[in-house]
Amino acid sequence: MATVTVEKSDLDKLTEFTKNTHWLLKNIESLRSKYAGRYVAVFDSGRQLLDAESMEELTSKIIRYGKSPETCAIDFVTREPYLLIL
Amino acid sequence: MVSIQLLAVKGDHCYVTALFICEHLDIKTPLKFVVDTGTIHTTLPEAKAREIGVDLEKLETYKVKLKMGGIGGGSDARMLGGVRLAFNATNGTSVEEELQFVHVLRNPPARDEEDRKILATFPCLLGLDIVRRFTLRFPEKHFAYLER
Repeated sequence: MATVTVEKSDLDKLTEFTKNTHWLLKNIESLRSKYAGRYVAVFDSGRQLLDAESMEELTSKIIRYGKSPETCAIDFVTREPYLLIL
Repeated sequence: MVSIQLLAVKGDHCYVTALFICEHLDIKTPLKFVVDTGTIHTTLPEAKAREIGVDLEKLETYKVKLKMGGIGGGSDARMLGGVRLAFNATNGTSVEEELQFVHVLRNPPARDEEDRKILATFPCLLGLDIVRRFTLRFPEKHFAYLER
């Protein structure tokens, strides 16, 4: 039996992560011209964006901005579209 | 009926988010998954597993080693037991699904620096072990649903 319960705050965190993820997935093409070759983090339901050369630098920026990295949508913006074959 | 919304971007895969819960490692964090009916078991790439606190070296000492392959090549995998996924349902409740284990896939060799960076943000895969519990529907242009 599960002992770790899912609280409302967990679901709120998931909702915020989902909004950021949806924004990034929908807008990744428009980010390519400016952020190609860089990591980006989207937060505040897609209203804020940070970028960095490395994941470590990006994580530090997010924390300095007072946000939690786990609710941000983070991705690497490739120079060309990148398709997954699964 | 329970319904979980997936994002179905044109020309891209279907994505869903879930809380990944692993009690014995004290992990409870949101993750992004590609809905992958070609994957039997839900799978985490190595970089994501490490990021959320899974120690692959410890997994190797007591978990079964597996070989996994795809059209792009093969890699080793480990099993991580005792996992739950919690999804936000469209009616505002949560849907929790237990998994006996997930696979943690070792990164394949990177061809270049860009490959290495792509692997660092590679999505998790929601496999048939979860998808089969639902009906997958595509009633809208930009959204699909897991329903039951």
